[in-house]
Amino acid sequence: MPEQEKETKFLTHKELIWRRFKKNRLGMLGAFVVILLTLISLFAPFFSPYDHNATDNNKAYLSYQQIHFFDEEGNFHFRPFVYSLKQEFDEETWERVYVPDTSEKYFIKLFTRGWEYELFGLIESDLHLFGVDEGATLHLFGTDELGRDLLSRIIFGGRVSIAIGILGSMITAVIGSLVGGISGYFAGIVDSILQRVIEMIRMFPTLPLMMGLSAAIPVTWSPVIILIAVMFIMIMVRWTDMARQIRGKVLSYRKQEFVEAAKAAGGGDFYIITKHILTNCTSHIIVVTTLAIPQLILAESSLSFLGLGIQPPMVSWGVLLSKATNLQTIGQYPWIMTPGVVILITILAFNFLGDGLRDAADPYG
Amino acid sequence: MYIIPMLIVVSFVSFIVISLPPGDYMTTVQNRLTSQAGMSQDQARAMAERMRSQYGLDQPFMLQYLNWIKNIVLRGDFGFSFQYNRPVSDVIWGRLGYTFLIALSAHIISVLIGVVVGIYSATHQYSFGDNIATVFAFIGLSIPNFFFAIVIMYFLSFKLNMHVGGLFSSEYVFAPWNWAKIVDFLQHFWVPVFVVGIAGTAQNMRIMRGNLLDELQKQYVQTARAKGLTERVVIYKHAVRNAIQPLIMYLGMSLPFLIQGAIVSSIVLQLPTTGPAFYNALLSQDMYLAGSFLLMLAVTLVIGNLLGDILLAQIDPRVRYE
Amino acid sequence: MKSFSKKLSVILVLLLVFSMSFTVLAQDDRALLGKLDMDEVIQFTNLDSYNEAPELKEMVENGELPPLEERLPSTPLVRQSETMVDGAGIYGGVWRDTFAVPIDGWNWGAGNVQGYFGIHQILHESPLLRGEMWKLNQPDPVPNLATDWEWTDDGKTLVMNFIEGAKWSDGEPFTTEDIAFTYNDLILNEQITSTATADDWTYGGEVTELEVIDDTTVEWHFGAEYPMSALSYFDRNNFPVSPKHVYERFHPAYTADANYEDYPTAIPAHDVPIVTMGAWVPIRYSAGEQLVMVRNPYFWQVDEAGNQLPYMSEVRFMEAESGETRTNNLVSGEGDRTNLENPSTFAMVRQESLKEDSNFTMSFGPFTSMYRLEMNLSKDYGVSDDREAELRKLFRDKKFRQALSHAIDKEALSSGAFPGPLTKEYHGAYPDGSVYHSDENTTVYDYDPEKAKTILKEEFGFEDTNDDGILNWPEGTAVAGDELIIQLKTNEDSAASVQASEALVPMLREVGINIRLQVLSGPNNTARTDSGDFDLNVARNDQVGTPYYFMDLVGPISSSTPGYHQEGSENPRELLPFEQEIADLLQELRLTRTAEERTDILHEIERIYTENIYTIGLYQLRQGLAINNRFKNIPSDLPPYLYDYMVNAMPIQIIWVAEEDQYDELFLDEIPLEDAYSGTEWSSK
Repeated sequence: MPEQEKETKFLTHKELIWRRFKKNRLGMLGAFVVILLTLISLFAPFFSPYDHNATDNNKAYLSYQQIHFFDEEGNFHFRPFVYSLKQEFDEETWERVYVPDTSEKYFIKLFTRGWEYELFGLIESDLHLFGVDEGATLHLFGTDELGRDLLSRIIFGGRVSIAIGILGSMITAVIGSLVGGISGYFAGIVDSILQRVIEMIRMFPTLPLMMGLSAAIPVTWSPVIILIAVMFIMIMVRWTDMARQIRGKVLSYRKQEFVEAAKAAGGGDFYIITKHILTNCTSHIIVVTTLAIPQLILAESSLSFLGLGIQPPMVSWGVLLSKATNLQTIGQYPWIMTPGVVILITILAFNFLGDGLRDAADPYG
Repeated sequence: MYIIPMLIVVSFVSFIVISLPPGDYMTTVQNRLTSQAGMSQDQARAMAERMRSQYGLDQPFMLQYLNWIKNIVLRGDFGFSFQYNRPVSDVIWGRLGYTFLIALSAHIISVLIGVVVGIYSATHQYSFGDNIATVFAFIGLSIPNFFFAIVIMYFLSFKLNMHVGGLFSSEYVFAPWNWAKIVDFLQHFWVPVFVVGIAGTAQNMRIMRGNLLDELQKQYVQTARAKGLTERVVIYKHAVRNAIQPLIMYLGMSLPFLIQGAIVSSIVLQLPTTGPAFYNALLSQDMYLAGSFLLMLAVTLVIGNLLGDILLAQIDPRVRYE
Repeated sequence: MKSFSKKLSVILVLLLVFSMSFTVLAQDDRALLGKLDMDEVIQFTNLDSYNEAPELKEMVENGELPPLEERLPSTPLVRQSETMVDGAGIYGGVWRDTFAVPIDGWNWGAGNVQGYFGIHQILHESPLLRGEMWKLNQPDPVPNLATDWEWTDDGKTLVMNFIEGAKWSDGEPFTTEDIAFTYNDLILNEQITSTATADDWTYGGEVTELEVIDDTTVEWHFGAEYPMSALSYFDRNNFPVSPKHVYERFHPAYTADANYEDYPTAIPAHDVPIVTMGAWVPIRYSAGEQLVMVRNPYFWQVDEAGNQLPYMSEVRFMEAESGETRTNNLVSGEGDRTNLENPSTFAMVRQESLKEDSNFTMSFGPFTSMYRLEMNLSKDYGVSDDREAELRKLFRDKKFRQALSHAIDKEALSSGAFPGPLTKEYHGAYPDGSVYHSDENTTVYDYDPEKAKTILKEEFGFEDTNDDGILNWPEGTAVAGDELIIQLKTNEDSAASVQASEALVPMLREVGINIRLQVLSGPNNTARTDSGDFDLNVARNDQVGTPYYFMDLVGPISSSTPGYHQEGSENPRELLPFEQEIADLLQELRLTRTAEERTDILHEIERIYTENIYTIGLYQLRQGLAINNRFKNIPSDLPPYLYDYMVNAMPIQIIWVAEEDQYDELFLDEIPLEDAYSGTEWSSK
C-alpha cells in the first residue's frame, strides 16, 4: 500500500489571519453585530416601521411597546399581538396615559406594507420588515415628545453616526497613510516639516478643538453640508494618529531589501510607497481603521449631544441623546435614554472586532 | 525648541476658532436683557451697542488678537471675561483647581483599582470573577462618557432620591473645613470621579491583566517557582513589578485625556469646573475666556507629553537613543 | 297659605344667597388678585412703637447699632395687613433659592448683572414698583421710595416726594441726591451704559429735566403734556437707585482721577458687603457656588404692628450652570421655590408634589405666557436673494398670513406641549389672562387646512408642478417654478419653542410648504433677529399681557420694533396700513391719562392686530410657581409673572416661617457694620 503523503498546504497571509480570527469568539460576535448594524443602516427605511420624521400628537411619550402573547381570557397565541392605544389625561398625575382597547387584537406581521420611501433615491417601495395593521401602532422603543417612533429614529440616526464613523475612518486612513508614508519614506526635511505639522495639530486636545471648530459652523448651512463639515473637522483632527503609526512602520521598512530592489527596477517613489510599503502595512492599517470607527462615533455623539455637531432635523445618536440631559425628562420618560445603550453596543461590537483583527493579524504584538 | 512658535500658532488658531461664530458676546448680553430682565427689545439693543464699543468689540480682528497676546506675554493677563466680568485668569484658576482634583483623583483611583483587579483577573484567569471583571472592563471602555453621566444622574436622583449636582450642599459652601464638610464634599465628589475614572479603570485593568498574563508565561517565572519561592512572592515581587512598568510609563500621558473626559461629564453633572465654563464661553462667544481655555488645555497636553517622555526615558534606557 | 309660602320661599332664597356669598367670601380670603385699593397695600405713616429682630436688638444693646428709631425713617413705609394672608409674621428663618447667571459686579447703575432669578428684585429699589400692581383693583405703579406725586396744572411738571429719613444699609442717609445722581450722572450720561437712556426720557422732542427742590422733593419737567407712560420708567427695571456716596468716588464728574472705562467694574462681584436699600445685604459670594445675604438693619419698611421688615433673617442663593437646576433643587429639598415656565416639567413636578414626603405646593397663575409665530414683514431689511424678497411680499399680504394661520392646528400644539388644561390655543394679541384681552375683539382664523390650500392656490396661484408634495412658485414671481421653502428659526434654550417649531413642520408640509427649521443658540438667534435675517420666528413671551409697559411687543413704537418689522439701514421702513394705525394708537397711548382711555386704545389695537394677523398665535399657558410649604403670607393666586416676577409680587419681605419650621441661620453674626464696609476694597479707593 502506498504511503499516504500528507499534503503540505500553503496558506496565504490572509487565510492565516482569517483562521486565527475565527477562533476568537468575541471577535466573531463583534463582526456579526457590525455586519448586522451596517445592513440595517444601509436599508434603514426597510427596517424602520415608521417614518422617523412623522409626528403623531396622539401618541406622544409612549413607553416601550407592550407585546402580548396571552389575551384577556388567558388564551395563548403563538403570534405576538398588540392592542390599539387611546390617549387620556390623568387628572392626578397630569400624565398622558395610554389605555389599551382589548376588543381587537393586532398581530405583528412580517413584510408589511407601510410608509413609502425611496431607497438610495432609486427604488421606490413601501415594504417593511415588520409592522401592524392600521388601527394600532407598534412602537417597540416608545415615542418622543412629538410622537415620533424612537426605534425608527435610532435606525436613521445610526445611519448618520455609523456612516460618519466608517467613512470618516476610511478617509482618515487614506490621508494618514499617505502622509505617514511620504514622511517616513523621504525622511529628512520632508519628514521634519510634516512631523512639526503633526505635532502642532496634536498640541490641541481633540474634544475641545472639535468643540471650538463646530461652534463656528454657520447654522444657515443645510443639514447635509453641516454633516460633511462635522466629518471634515473630525478627520482633520484625527488623521495624525494614523500618520504617526504608519510613519514608524515605513521608517523601518525603507531600508529593507525589497525597497532597494524596487528602486533598482526603476519604480517611482510614489509607486514604491503605495504598492510596496503600504501594502505591507495593510493589516495594520485595517486594524487601526477599525478601532478608529468607534472613536469617531463617540466623538460625533459627544459633539451632537452638546448641540455642536449634527443639527436637527437630521438625526444622529448624539442628537437623540441631547434630549436626555434634562433630568426631568429622563425621570418621567426613561426610554429616551435608549440610544445610549445602542451606542454602547455598537462601540463594543467595533471594539471586539478591532481587537480580534489585531490579535489575528499580529498575535505576537 | 519649537515650542514657542507653536504656542503662538496655537493661540492664533484658538482665537480664530473662537471668533468664527457670528455676533459677539454682546448679543448674549442683549438676549439676557430681554429674557431675564424684562427689558424691551429697544433698550436691550441700545445697551448692547453701547457696551460693544465700550469693550472694544467693534475693533478689527487682528487688533484684538494682538492686544490679547501682548497682554499675555507682557503682563500674564489673559484678557477679560465678559460673562463673569472678571479677568480670565480669575475664572480659570478657580475652576482649574477642581478640574485637576477630579482628574487626578480619578486617575489615581483608576490606576489603583485597575491594577488590583487586573492582578486578580490574571491570577484567576477564566474564573467567574475574571469573566465578570472582563465584561465590566469592556463596557467601561465602550460607554460614552456623557451617557454614563446621564445614567448615573438618573439612578441617583430618581432611584435613590439623592441630590445630584454641585460639589457641596448649600449649608456647607461657606462652612469651615470640619469633618461634616468633608463628608458632604465626598458625598458629592465621588460621582464625577466615578464617571471620569470608569474608562481609565477599565483600560488599566485590561492592560494589567494582559501584561501580567504575559509575564507569567515567561521563563524567569518558571525558574523562580523551580527555585521554591512561594507563589505570592513569585507573583508580586517579580511578575507584577515587570508587568506594571508599561502602565507607569504612560501615566503622565493619560492625564490630559482625563481632563478632557472630565469636560463632558462635568457639563452634564453641572459642576463648577472648566468643562461647563469652556462650553458656555464657546456658546456665548466669550472669546478671551474660550481662547485661553483652549490655550491652557493645549499647554497641559504638551507638558503632559513632555513629562511622559521624561518618565519614559528614565525607566526604559532603550528609548533614550531614539 | 299662599302668602306664607311665598314669604318662606323668599326667606329661603335670601338664606341661600347669603350662605353662598358667605362661602364665596370664605373660600378666597387668601386670593388677592385685583382686590385691594392702594392704601390697603401700603401707606406711609408714623406708628407709635416699633420692634426689631432679636439679633438686631442684641446688637443695639451691645452698642454696635444705633437704636431702631434712629435707623428707621420718620415716616416709614407701612405694609398693610390686607396684603398679609397669614397675618403678621415672626422673625427668623432662611430663604434658599437658585440662580444660573454669573454675577458681573454690583454696579447696577452701570448695567452690571447680579444674576437675575430674584436677586435683582431684592437689591434694587426704585421710586415706584410694579411688583404688587396685580393686587390692585386699579392697577397703577405702587409708591416705593417715592411716597406720592402730583401733576401741575399744565401737565408738564411732575412733583414727586420721597421718603424722609431713610438710610442706606451702611447708615448713610438716602436723599434726592441719590435720585439726581442716578438720573443725571448715570441714565442721561452717554458715557455710561445704564438701564435707561435719554431717548427713553424724551417727550415732545425734549429730554426730561430733573430739578431737585430739597432733600425729599424733586420736580420732573417734561416736553409734552401728561406723558403718563413716563411713570413706567420709575420701576426697578429702568430706575434702580445707585448710592451716590459710594459711586461718586468712581465717577469722573466728581472725582478727578476717575475714568469712565473703569466705572462699570468699580465693585467686582467678590467685593462684599455692598450698600443697598433692599431688605437684605450681600455679605458673602463664592463665584460658581453661593451668594449669601443677611437682613439689612436699616431697612425702611415695617408692618402695621411696627415690626421692622423683613421677617426672614437670611437669604441664600445657590449658583448653578442652568436654570433647570432650580427646579431640581426644589424637588430634592435643597431649594425653596421655582418658577414653572416649561410645560414639559409640569407633570414631573406635579408627581413630586403628590408624594407623601413632598414639602412644596404648586400653584398656577392666569394665562399670561404665550408662544407665537412671527413673520418677517420688512420689505427689504435682511433680504439677500430673490427668494427672500418674494417671501416678504407674501408675508405682507394678509391673505397669505391667513392661509398660514389656517394651516396650523393650535389645539394640537397646545395639547402636545401639555395635555391638560394649563395650556390652550392662542389667537389673540394678548393672552387670556390679560385685562386687555377680550374675545370679541379677537378675530380667529382657525385650523382649516383645506381652506389654506384653497387660498394658496386661488389667491396666489401656487401649484405642485412636480408632484412631490411641495408647492411651486407660480409664474410671474422671480423664483417661478422653485419649491416653496420657508425658513423657521427659534431659540434652542426654550425647549417648548423648539417642540412647537418641530411640530409646525409636518403641519405646514400638509398644505405644501417646506419648512426648514433652524434651532439656534440664544446669541445666534438674537443676532439673526437683529439683522432681519429670517423668514419665520417662533418666540415665547411673558410680558405681552401687560402691553402698556411693553409696547414694543405689540407694534412699531420705534424704528427697531417690533422685531419682525424693523427698519433697515438703507431704505425707510414701509409700514402696512394697519401697522400705521397701530403705531398712531401707540403714540396716543403714551399720553393717555386714565385707565379707561388706555383700555379703549388697547382693545382697539387688539382688534386691528388680530384681524390683520400681525403675528400668528400658537398657544398660551399658565405659568406656575412651586414654593416650599413652610412659608406664610403667600397669596393663593400669586402670579409667577404679572407686571413683575414673583419676588416683588409677594413681596418677599413679608414672607415668614413658623418657628418650628425655621432652618438655622448660619450668618447671623455677620450683619454688616461699619468695619465690614470699610474693610472692602471699594470703600478704600
